[in-house]
Parts: sequence; structure tokens; C-alpha cells
Amino acid sequence: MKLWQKVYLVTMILFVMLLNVGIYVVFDLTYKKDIVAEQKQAEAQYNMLTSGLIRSLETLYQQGDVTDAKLRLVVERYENYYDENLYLTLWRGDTCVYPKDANYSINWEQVPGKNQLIISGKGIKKITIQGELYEGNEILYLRYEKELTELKEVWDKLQTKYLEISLSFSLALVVFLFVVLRQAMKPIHELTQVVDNMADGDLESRASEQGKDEIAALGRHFNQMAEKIQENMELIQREADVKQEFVDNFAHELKSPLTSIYGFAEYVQKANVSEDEKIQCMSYIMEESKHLLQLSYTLLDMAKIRNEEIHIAEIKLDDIEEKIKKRMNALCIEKGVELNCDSCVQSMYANEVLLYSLLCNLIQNAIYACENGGAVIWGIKEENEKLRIYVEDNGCGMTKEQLKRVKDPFYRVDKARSREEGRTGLGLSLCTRIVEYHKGQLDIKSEINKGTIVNIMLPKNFTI
Amino acid sequence: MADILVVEDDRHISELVKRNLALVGHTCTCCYDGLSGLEVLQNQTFDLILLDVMLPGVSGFDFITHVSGTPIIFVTAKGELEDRLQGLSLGAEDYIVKPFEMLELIARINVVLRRSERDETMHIGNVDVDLKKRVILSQGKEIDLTPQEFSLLEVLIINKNIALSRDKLLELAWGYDYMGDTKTVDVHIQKLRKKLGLEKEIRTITKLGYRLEV
Repeated sequence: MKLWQKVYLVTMILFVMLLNVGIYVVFDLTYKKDIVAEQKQAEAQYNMLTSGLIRSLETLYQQGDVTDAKLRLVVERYENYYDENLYLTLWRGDTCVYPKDANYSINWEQVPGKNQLIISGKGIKKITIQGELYEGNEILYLRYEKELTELKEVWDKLQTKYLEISLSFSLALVVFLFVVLRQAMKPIHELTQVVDNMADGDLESRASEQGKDEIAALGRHFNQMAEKIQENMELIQREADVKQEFVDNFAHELKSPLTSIYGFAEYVQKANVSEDEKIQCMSYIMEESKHLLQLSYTLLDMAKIRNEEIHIAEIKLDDIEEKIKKRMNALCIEKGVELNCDSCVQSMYANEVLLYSLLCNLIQNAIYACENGGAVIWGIKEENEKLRIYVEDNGCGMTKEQLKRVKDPFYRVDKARSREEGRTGLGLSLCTRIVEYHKGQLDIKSEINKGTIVNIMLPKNFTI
Repeated sequence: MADILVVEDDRHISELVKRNLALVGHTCTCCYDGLSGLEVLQNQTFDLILLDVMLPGVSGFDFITHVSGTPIIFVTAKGELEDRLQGLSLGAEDYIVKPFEMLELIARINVVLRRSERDETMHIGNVDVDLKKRVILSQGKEIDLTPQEFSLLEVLIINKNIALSRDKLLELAWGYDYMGDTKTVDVHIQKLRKKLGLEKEIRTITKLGYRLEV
């Protein structure tokens, strides 16, 4: 059974019970009071009647010769004089004299007291007063009976009224309580609906926050919780999307070289190829294999950052500069690009291998972006308590669209050329990882045909 | 046999396709991005276009909307069902996922070319073969081949200049469910050589199988 139904039933039963018991008690008291009043009235009437009767009887006895008929006449007069609901019975000794042919017998020996008062009857109440009336030569007994017809009528009416009132009140309560409880339970019902919706995966669902009661407070807290859950879910989803995209791209990235390798191998195996053609096909296979190898190295580097404990030490930047110069020398000559270093900082704390890898990647990108005769400048400077690493070129630059996507794994600005140069498209992803690891930020500004500058801000005193 | 436009940004794959198709007699024009592909299409008509999806400039799915009348086969690394469905719903004849096998590529190309109705007569050695009418003429005289011999010859012609293993020949000429010995292939090859006088053209490739050289 639902909560509101329980409350509804219990309240209803209690109310109906209390209402009826209350009405009953009030009615009962009033009724008793009415009976007492009637009783007093009857006694007064009886006294008046008997004193009158006694006087008449005395006169009758003084005249002598008291017959039954005479007695009957006197009593009848009195009976008719008073009330239509009044019945008198007269005994002369043990014989019933009035009413005429009634032969009511009563053992007066057994009637205690003088004037006994009895209230009897179920439907119409009857007040009976009976006792000795007159004692002269003989004893006369009188029974006074009064039927409370009026009282009965009044109470019958009252009873109907009472039923009407009780029923109408109960009915009103049934409806009123139903409406009120439904209204009170509505927010809970709605909240349940919202929870159900969320359980079914609709994370946008929110509870109503209107009102100041406990349910509204519950709704507010629930909404806060839902907000958090949604945020976290979105975060997880975003991360999953990024990972999925990486895997998709990676699969594609593997497919192209593998297609070439397999295809050329199959070609050499099955076609009637000349020696020259064979050598050329083999060189294609080797190039593509090399590309795959490069890809696996880069991926391994990225995995290393994630998995391995990285050693941070003070690095002399002169050494790094020297190493980079040596490494890039051949490429600079081939491309006809001038590489210069302009640093103010002598040493810094970082992981040497990673820093070297970062600089190599960025400088390589810069050199590839330049035409013959271009220039690349890189350096590390101290700025606002931070270290700024920058790599600047005056090469081809990028459009805004390209700039937006340039950090995506496997994205290449010039796909065909990049592939020919044997690059993986993972360079900037790797750089971003390295910078993130050093708790820094990587920022790229670029203008088409003017050049690109990569800025990396690192905290000066880097510790893990 | 057919003029084919290859729009593929990976130069190695492009080169590979070109060489493979040259073996079976197709001529290829290679473009490395969507725009130049569309430019070439304005001046020249092709029997078929092999199209990559992820192209710089104009993507394959955009490219196809600019082409009408020329059958297109997508050759792409994107192998998901939704990509295939999108490609096919845009009007492509077929969808080949990389990496692909040479024979598969040729077979699919042939299906599409056959669909667009081209009848050809092949000259091999001293015989003329009409694959459509299933007629073989040697110096004006018709030569009788059993249906099995003919289908073997057909497979060899379609995949000419490509070495086919005995298993592959069994699969292609006899069908997947044929449980025969590879010796059957040798016997039929001998018969073909003898009946058509193609001893030189149908070459035995050691450790591999046979190749029809034209």
C-alpha cells in the first residue's frame, strides 16, 4: 500500500470514529437531560393531578355511597382534562375500576414506597408513577402513565439529522482528505518519476524545487546530486570519446602502411616484375615499415610518460642546446633553414629525456613549416616567476581551422607531405602530454604565410 | 581494357593500385586530392573511379555528389557499417576496405565494369576469346572447351599477369565448395595449354601456381 493511501485510510477511520462518538456523546447527554426534565414535569403533573383527585374523592366520600361508576367519572374527567398521552388506572382495593373493562391486576403488597416512578419502553418511552392515592374506608390505588410521544418525535428527527450530519461530514472529509493528500504527495510522486527517468538514463531530468517544505529541499539536494552525476558522466563520456577517436585514428593510421606493405609484397610475389621494379617495390615496403616503426616509437614514448616514474633533475641547458644542434643539423641543411637559440636561463628542473623530446618535436615541426631560407628561433626565458619555452618560425603558418585541430592525434596540416617526410602526426600529442606532465601549458599562435609561435609556460620550481 | 581514375592521397597505395590494374590491362590516372580529381574529370571521361573517403580538400563523400554517370568504388580504411552504408547510399557501386587483396580489388572492379556492359574480345597468343559469347576462335576455327576448362580460362584471363595459386584457382573456377585435389587444376591447365596452344602464355610459377602472361 502506498504511503498516501495509508495516511488516507488511518485519518479517515480516526475522523469518522471521533465524529460519531462525539455526536453520540452529546446526543446521549442531551437525551438524558430531556428525560429528567420530562420526569420532573410528570411528577409535577402527577402531584397536581392527585391533589385535585384527592379533593374530589373526599367530597365524593363525604356525600357517601361511592360507586364504581362515580369513581370512574371523576378519574375520566381528570384524565381528559390534562393530556392526550396521559393514561390513568384506578384500583379500588384489588379490583381495577378505571378504565372500565380493563382488568389489570397488580399486587400492591409488592410495590415498594409510596409513589413509585418507572421509566420504561423502548420505542416510545413511558413514565409510570403508581402508588396509594387515598385511604379512607377503603384504599384507592392510582397508576399514572404518560407516553413521551413528543420526545420520541423530536428525537427521531434529531436522529435523522445526526445521520445526515455524520454522513455529509464523512463524505466531505473523504473528498477533502483525498485531494489534500494527493496534493501533498504530488511532489514525492514527481520526484519518484524523476529518479525513474534518471535510472533509465535520462540525465537531463530534474526535480521541481518550488516550495519551502522538506520535499522541495529533498528535490534541491537531488538536483545537486543529479548535476554532479551528469557532469561526471559527461566528463567520462568526453574522455571515452577522445580515447575512442584515438583508437579509430590509430587503426586507420595502421591500415594505410599495412595496405601498402601487403599490396607491394603481393605484387612482387604474383606479378611478372622486372628487377628494377622489384627494387622499387621493396623500397616502398621498407619506407612504410619504417613509418610503422616510427609510430610505435612515438606511442611508446607516450606510454612511458603515463606508466613510468620519471626522474626530475637539474638540466644544463647548454648541453641540451648542443644536442639539439647536432640532431637538427642535417635537416636544417637539407631544408635550407637557419636554427638559432636565444636563452636567458642557464638551467632548469625537468626530465631531460622528455624535455629533449619536446624541443626536438617542436623544432622539427617548425623546420618543416619553413620554406628554403626560413628561420627558426627557440629559447627558454624567465617571465613572471615562470619559465617560458618558445619555438618560433617564419614558415607557412596555419589557418584557424587547422590550428583548432592541430593538437589532435594523427592530425597533419599537410597530410601528403608529412607522410612522405615519415612523420606520424603524433608529435604535438606527445608534446602536450609532456607539458601536462610538467604541470605547464602549451599554447600555439599562428598566422597563415607569416609563421607560428609555440609558447610553453612551466612553473619555475617544478617538483612532482 | 578500361580507363580508371584513382583518387587516393596515399601515394604508395595509389601507385600500388595503378600497377595492379595495369597488370590486368586497365589504364589508371592518379589524383592525390579531391579537387584535382574533379578537375581531371572535367576534361576526361573514365569507365570507373576508385575513390578514397578521407581526402584532403574535398572528401570522398562530397566528391561522389559531383560525379554522375561514372561508376564509383570506394577504397578506404573506414570499415564501419555506417560508413559503408553512407558510401553505398550515396550511389557507390561497391565499397572496399583497406587493407585489400589484389585479386579482390580486380574481381570487384570487373563486376562493376561488367555491370556497365562492355563486351571485349581478348587476343591471347593465337586465339581470340569472347568471354561474353563464350566463343574461342583459333585462326577462324572454333575450338571446343568443356565448361570447366572455359571457366578456368576465364579466371586466368580476368586475372592475367597475376600468379594464381592452385587453391585460388580451385576456389575461383570450381567454386568454394569443390572438394577436389589441386592435381585437378594441373590436369585442366595441361588440357588448356594443349587445346589452345598456350604453352608459353600459361606459365608455371614455381612454388606458387600459374600465370597467364599477355
